[in-house]
Amino acid sequence: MEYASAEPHPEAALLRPIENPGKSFYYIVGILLVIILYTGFVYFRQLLYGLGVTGMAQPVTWGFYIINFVFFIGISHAGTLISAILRLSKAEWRRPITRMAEVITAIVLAIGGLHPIIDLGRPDRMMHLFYNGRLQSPLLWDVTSITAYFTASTVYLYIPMIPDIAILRDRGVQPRWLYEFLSWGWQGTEKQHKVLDRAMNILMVVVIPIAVSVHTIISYIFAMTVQPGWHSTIFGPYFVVGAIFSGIAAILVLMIVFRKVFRLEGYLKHIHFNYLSILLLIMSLIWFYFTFSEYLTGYYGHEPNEMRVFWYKFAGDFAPFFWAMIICNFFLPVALLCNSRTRTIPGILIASISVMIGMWLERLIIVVPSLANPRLPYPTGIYIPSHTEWMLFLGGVSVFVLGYMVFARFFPVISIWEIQEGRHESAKAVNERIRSYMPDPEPTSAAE
Amino acid sequence: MKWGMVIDLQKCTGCGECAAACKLENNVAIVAHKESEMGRTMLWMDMLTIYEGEYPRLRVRQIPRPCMHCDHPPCTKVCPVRATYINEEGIVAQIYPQCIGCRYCMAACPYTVKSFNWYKPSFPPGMARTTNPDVSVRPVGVVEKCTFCIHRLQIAREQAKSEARDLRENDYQPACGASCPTGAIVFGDLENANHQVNRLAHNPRATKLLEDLGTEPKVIYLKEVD
Amino acid sequence: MKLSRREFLQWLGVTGALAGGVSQIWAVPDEWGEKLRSGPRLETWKMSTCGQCPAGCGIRVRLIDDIPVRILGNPIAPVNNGFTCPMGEAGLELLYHPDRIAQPMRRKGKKGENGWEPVSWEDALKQISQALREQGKAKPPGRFGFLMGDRNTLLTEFAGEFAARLGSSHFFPWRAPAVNELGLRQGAGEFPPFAFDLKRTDYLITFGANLLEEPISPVYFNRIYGVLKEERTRTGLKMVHVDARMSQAGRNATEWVQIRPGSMGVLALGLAYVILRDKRYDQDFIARYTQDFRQGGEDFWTLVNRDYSPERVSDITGVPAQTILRLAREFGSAKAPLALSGGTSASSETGLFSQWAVASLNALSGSFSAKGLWRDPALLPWGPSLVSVFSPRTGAFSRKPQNTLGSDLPASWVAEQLPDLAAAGKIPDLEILLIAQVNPVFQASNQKAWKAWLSRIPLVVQFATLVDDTSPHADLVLPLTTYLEQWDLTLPIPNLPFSLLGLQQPIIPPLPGARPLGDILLHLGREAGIDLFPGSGEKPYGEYVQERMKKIFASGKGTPYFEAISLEFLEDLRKRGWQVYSYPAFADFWRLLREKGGWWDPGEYPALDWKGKKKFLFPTAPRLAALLKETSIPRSEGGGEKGAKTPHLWLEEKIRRPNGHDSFILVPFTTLMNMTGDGASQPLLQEMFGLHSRQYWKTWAEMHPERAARLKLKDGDLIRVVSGNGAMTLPVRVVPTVSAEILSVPFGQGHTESGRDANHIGANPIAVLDHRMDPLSGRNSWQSTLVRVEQIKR
Repeated sequence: MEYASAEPHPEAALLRPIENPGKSFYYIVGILLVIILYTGFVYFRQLLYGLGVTGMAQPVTWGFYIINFVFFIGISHAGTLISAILRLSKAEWRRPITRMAEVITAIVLAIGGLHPIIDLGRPDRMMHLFYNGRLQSPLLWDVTSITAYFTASTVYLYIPMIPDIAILRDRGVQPRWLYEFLSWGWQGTEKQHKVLDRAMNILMVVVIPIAVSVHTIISYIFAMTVQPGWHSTIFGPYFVVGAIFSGIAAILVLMIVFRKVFRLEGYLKHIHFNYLSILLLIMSLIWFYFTFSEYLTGYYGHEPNEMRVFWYKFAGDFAPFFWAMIICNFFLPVALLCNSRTRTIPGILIASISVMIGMWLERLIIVVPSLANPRLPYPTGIYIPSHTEWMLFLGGVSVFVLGYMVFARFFPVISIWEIQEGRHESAKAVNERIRSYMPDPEPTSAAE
Repeated sequence: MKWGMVIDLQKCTGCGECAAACKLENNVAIVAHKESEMGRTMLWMDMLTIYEGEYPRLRVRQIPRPCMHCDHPPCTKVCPVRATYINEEGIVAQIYPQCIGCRYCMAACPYTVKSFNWYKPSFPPGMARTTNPDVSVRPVGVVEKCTFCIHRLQIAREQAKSEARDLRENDYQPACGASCPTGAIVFGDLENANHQVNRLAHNPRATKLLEDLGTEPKVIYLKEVD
Repeated sequence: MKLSRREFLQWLGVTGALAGGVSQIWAVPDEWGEKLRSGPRLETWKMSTCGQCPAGCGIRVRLIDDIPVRILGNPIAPVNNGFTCPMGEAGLELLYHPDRIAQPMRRKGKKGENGWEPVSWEDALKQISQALREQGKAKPPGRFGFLMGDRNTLLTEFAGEFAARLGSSHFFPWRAPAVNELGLRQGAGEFPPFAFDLKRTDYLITFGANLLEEPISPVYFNRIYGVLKEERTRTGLKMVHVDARMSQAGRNATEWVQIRPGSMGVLALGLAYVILRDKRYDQDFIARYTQDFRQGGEDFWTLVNRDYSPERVSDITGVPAQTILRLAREFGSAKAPLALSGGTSASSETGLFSQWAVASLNALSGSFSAKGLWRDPALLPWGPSLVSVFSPRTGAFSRKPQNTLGSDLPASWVAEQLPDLAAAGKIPDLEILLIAQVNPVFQASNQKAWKAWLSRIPLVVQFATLVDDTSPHADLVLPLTTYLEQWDLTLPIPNLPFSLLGLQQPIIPPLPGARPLGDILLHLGREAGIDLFPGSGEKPYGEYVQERMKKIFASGKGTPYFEAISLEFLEDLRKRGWQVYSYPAFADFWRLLREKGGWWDPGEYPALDWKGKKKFLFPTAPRLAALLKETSIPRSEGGGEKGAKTPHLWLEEKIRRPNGHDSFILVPFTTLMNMTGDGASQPLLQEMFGLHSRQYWKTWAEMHPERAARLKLKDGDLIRVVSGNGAMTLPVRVVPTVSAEILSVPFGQGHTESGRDANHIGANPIAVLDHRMDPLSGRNSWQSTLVRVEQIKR
């Protein structure tokens, strides 16, 4: 299992971005850094003057920051949850995907987790959450679950990466100290493999409930109030479904991008896209089912305040966003993915981007209309995000792209050892497994 | 002791003095032109206008709206840092130095009574002198709302203590009640049978805003009957 | 905020002068802040009287270490019983306003431009007194005019005296008319109009009289309305408000009757038609105390029966005939019905006629003689005040005791028309015009004429606390103290049944640089060789106030404000020769006055008695024709078009109707937060400007939902309102509280030079009005302008 560093590696395509990053990498990093620096300046301005620099007001007191928080955390479900489920169900086609997915989780969670802090009027008093925290507040559940999720998912990303880091270390890739440090003395002994397997098994079981809890709890932030449009029992699963939905779309987009940029056609085959896009299609249908139930029950209940929000979304100021969401999340992906002729890479790319946009709009449609339509006879609130909020959104996306690029610069985005493991052992294991599913053959007379 | 307020809409003429008195008493910031356009005007005591029916049967209801000081406040439930809480006398109070400005309470309040200091409250040069020295000016980034003029309770308590007597009904009146020209706003202890509010709260005209939510507001309205 | 401040600095011309060490901007001394922070926190209270509007509410100022921090109501002041309105509360914002003028300023460059240089008080006063002396020598005299916002204080009378002693009758007080003022002036020949007691009526019909938001004492009337609203659930009192817009009075009434602007008089006569037909009028009162009812010929009976059938009235007013019949029967069958006309009824081209017609309803029903429902205006122990009057016949101004006007009009009615009067030669070319406490370039609808007139006068001196829109057209601007820094007495409001004098006393020393107007006038008088306060030497205006109170003391009448006891009990005490307070010497009386905040005479409640009065005149055709003939107020559309029509029909033609789907009658209205436009300088009032519409710091236009739907306008859309005289851009509010024919726009915003909180906010609806006026009273019409509405694409 060990290779001398000078020799061409059998999975050279996976090591190429690390060993030869190329010039365009630095150009893009440069551009991203400029955007991020400017975002930093804009945020500094917000720190200096207060949240007044945003477009939030009364009654729409939550805006882009909370929308993006929910959106980013939703995307984060792409990774760990999907990877854990696929691993747990021993889906062999998962091998080139899991790492990519897990990285999304770690990076996006860090960005998403910062959003509530950006949204605080007094970020300097953030520590009050620990000194004076009230466990009865859903916001504190959130703090807890996101912290747990972040910890679990980074560990879950890191542990399976150790053998790969050791490969890089052994190939003498610079900076050596980094790989030396992170490989944690991995020698690939049998015992080490056993421990690794065990750790992964524990983590993948632990991480699934945490992931589900995170998005459920985010939905609880809304559902625990009595506000029309928020106070719904369906919100927990609805948010989880939405999160997985947007997460799969995010993975698909990333896979297509990496496939193109790093020429990974050999690893990310059409079958991967096919499987994942069918999953996306299923999620789209489930999402629609939830959306349908949510609004239909609201409509039949016909509670006046609920209806004010309902009509605001269906025919009022938010109708363009609402119907765009329905098209982006349902009609377009279903139309594209149902038909095997359009379920091609470009088709999947369009469907995935459309789902990402649609899911962002869904968060917008959940957060703003309920706030904009207070119960008492106040005028309908108006929310126009300011330059600061747009910049912080763009900055968040830039940090994500930069984070991913930096990760891909130093670590393989496809798990080398798992691919190898797949090549060497899986075929046999799967064969055996399949045999175990099958009814035992009737004892033939020949065997007698 | 359970402090509460009764607002008799049959007496109220909607003059808005309660709102003005409240703003000055509590040093509520003036947000000025552009901010106000955005909807950041801060009125602890607001005036709701409801149009009922059509001309010639048109009626316009004008409802002064302070914080409801609910017995089951949806806002205190969600506060992550106990910056808003209901005290043992039923007042839903704010602790400004503890507030982290997450605005969850604002989102949770079904009455939309809370205001947020989007910027540092500023007073034009010189006009800072018109602030009430009994109430602190809030810092930037915290949520604020009607407190039933709780500072007046503290002053009244001290006064009563120094005179070695119990608190009387009129010792503690919030600024809106004390300034209402028509006497439509009555304040007192809902549990004290001698207080006017106790009697008025059982008036057949008594009603509460969004009563069906079960928030049990301690601001009780007496309906307008014509 | 930054921009307006920079503009302000430029405006004052400080950008250059600041280097010379001349700080124009008044600021609260630093030691004050220090004192507030670290002083011993001694709390004191001082009594005074509010000067934000003419109502004369008693105020109680809270001081911490001698620095005022809050204004509350004086609990023993009879008008307001301890309460204030938002304007009263906001007073300290005026006192501490960062844009207060700190030093006299002389114009540099042309009028209307913003070039200023600081001058010393000595130089400024010398320039004025010299000009005053010179105009005194001129033949004919009277080339000196004094325009003053009448805040219903002794100072107005004093300023009138000042002008008269300098040989000029051109003293023009500026104020809104009281309730019923125009109608009772013509019908009953009374000025000031009678007071009324709302508590004694069982049927109140208010024609445009928005008692809750007009500067006749909103606090008092809000209190009374609160009581009436509660009592009416038991007594069945009906309160009907007739107006094109549902103002606060309409919202608090039991019924709001929509009416076409300007047609209130027609409706009143329509009610009279039904009352006459049903014979529900008070024959006894009519026989004894009225004239022209049914003596034959063109009398009231003939007029009403011929021209004011419900069908015709319904066509003109837009009020259904059914409603007219019902209202008339309700009014006719009530025991003590009260018909009041004020507010919008006075500000139309048919204003005086409308109020007169409404007044005649009170005569028809005999309610003028109902016990205690109406009261004679309170008389002060020092006798009737002198008021400035305008004689339409001769076109001359003079001063007369307020109750002996004859056929003259109060000068305050025609003050808005001064430029036209000057153009028509009714006023000589003035050499010097003093302007105090009023902002005609903002408040008058004929603003262009005002600017032109001011630019023709060689020396225009403005006395003001804050610069305002008129300042650019003045040659000298002198800083005044606010009402919180000066001595004065507020006089009783004609409509209120109180004889009272509210004492204004300085609650803090005048701010350096600013001076009280009374002291300035005393000084100018001395310089010009007249002594307004004989034997005073160099005594200030405060001593003059004290001197006047000595007369009250000597009369032995009334008492300083006292703690609440019932009036009956007080009467009882008085009968037994007791007094609430004892004040053997004037010094004691004066001390009590300062402690209590004012003087009143609760015994002075004379119920109206027609025996000693002239007979009530009905608005018949010959009377109206005679009035039209004798008025020579220059008319915007020229006179002499009476022709063969009766004067009523001629007036009715002035009632406008919209002519097209985008055509509206523009009707400005005032709110409690900003009754005269001055409130815009105070941030609290700006922030609460449209409290009831949730529109703050802006001007908006109210439109009926049906019209909005036809124009495809949504609430909040921007519209352009175009009149023959200009245009303005506003957001539209779609509300059911306006009639479908009008576009209602609040007055008060649209300043260009009134301090940082007022400038460049909203629009001034008065500025786009066509200049039309009521030919009978000379008051500008606010309801005769047709506008077109265009949607602006966002």
